[in-house]
Amino acid sequence: MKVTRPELSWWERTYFPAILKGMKLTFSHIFRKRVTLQYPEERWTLPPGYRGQPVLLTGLDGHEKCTSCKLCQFICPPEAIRIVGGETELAKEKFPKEFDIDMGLCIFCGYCQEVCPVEAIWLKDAYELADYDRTNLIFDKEKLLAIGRKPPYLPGREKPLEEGR
Amino acid sequence: MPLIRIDDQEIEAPQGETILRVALKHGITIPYYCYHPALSIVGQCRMCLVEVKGAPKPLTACSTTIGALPPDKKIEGKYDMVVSTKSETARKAQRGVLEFLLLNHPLDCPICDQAGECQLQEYSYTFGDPASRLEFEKVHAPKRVDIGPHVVFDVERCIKCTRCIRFCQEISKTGELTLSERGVHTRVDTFPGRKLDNPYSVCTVDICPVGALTSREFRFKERVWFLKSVNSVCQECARGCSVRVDAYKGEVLRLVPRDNPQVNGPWMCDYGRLITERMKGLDLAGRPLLRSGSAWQGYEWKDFGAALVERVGGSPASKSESWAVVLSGRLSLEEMAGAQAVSQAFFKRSAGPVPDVAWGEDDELLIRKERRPNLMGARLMGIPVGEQNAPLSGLFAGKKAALILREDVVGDAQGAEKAAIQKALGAMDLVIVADSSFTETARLAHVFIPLAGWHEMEGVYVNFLGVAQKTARAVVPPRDRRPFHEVASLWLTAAGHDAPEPTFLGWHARVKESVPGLAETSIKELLPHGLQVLDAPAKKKVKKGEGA
Repeated sequence: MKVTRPELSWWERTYFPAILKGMKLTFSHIFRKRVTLQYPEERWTLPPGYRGQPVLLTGLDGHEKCTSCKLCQFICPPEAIRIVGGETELAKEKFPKEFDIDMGLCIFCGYCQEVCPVEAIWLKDAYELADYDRTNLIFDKEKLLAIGRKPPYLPGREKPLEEGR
Repeated sequence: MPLIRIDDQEIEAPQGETILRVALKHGITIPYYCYHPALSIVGQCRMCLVEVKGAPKPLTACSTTIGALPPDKKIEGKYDMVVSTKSETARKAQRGVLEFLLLNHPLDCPICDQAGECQLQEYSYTFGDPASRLEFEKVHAPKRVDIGPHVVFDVERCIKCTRCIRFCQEISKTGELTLSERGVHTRVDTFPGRKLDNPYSVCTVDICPVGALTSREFRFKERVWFLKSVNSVCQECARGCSVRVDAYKGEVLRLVPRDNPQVNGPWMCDYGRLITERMKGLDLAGRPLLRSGSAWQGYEWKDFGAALVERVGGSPASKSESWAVVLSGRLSLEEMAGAQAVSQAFFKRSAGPVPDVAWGEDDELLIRKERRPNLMGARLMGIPVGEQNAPLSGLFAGKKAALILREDVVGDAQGAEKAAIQKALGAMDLVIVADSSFTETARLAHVFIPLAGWHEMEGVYVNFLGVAQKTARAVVPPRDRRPFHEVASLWLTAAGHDAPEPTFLGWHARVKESVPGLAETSIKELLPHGLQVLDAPAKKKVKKGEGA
């Protein structure tokens, strides 16, 4: 394939016009609004529906909503979810004896939230999940419920929780 | 034979046969719930409604038989019956029936064990309406009814197909179940004071087309789509039922019968299924162990062959009459061939006998009192089989060394017999025990060989009718346990003897030489229903089924 090169004049071949053009663009940014944040002192306001840390939600009866149907385990692309089901005396019959999410594997795709038939798993807006030890990244059921959302009138919660917090 | 047309297929069908059977045989899909090939026909669920030309309304395909018309009254000049399964009338009838069945169905598929293998799910997608027209609260009924020791009943999910009731009346002949109440409150129930407690009760779970009856043992264990299934053979009696082993992550979760008219029909006993429960408590063997004094020393397999040869060769007991070689009916044919080769090479004698362990009674359906799956295999291999329940202490009398394969001779014995065996084994110079778990017998051993369990290896088993069936490996042994034929190769090679390569196929070639019925056959012929390698004794056959 033949590429046709533009004919450059003597002045253009010094590259001064190109440099000046670039400088103009760069310096014009000085007068624009700054987008850089002084993280972690300053924080970004996350958009609604931001997909961060997956958590388990508690139902109105004070128990986890999850019925251990394992659809999230099935759909999870990196296979980060591990569930062991068991029988409970509650009306829902089945509950997760163990529910682990390996946050080292999670890719925050949100399929688990999408597929859940009882809206028991939900991606909240937490994103600072780094740790020095991989074993700490495996979040078990107690931890996922503790950081998950609870209904407002459960003991110790007078005020309704803000959506997404 | 009458000529009929189903949709656009012309079929010559025998007079008196039902439309459904003919359709299934020719690959035409008609949905059905209450029909089961091994049970009587009741026409109860109405799911198989089809349009038959000339009939005033849709007819149930399962109970409508094919008849012949006089020559001058043939439909379109040649047909005795014209059936349509896809016409507007038939589709409307099927849709209507499904709407009724789903009307009060709880739709708790997320927690239902049947989800994934549920006929109601499948037909709803294929034949049903996407939405329900019901505007009111569904009729609720008890869930989690304790109907029997191994079965849990969910009344809401039941579609009243009565397969379970007919099973208890016709197959297990115990008749615990019946329909009670009327109308929308109709429910399957046990008779007062009775439980669904018969040796085959979990078969009702298999034939239940929905999740109404679930197995207590498998309940909530795993969703069915995660399970890895292989074809295998039940190990718990001489019947050797064809089973499908469902495993997940290295654990066998359930056994389901495979329909095999030669052996078990579509059924299987609860005792055989509960092997999954009994396997849980086992002290699973790890690596090869040698004992000196009271200390066990672990070995790697690569060093173990030489260690074995040294230990056996160095023992004062190297004469043929001083060895007791006890095999088990739990060994596969290949393992028996391995044991035979080892016995001839090192002990200069033929292996055996195989103890014939029996308890309980034969029943009319499946259960045999001989409790080992491969006794007939041992007979075909020319390995002597002991008398039924003969005391084993006699085998060890006057012997100086013993090789015991897959048989817990101490743990299974009782009272004085147990003490006698313990004493005999304790006094020996060398006891070699090979088993898949560390049994009571293994504690008395000087050499312990960890064998792969029945679910962790391939093997051929011959049941009491002479049907040879092959098992497949359901799970990979979590630790390095091996079937005995592989150990035999290792052992023979370490001593400089000729041995087949340490694989199933290598030793199966050896088996073919000694079992005449298998000589000309390939492995594929043993799948999936097995091969008759012996003339079957004249006996009542299991009721035939063609698929659940």
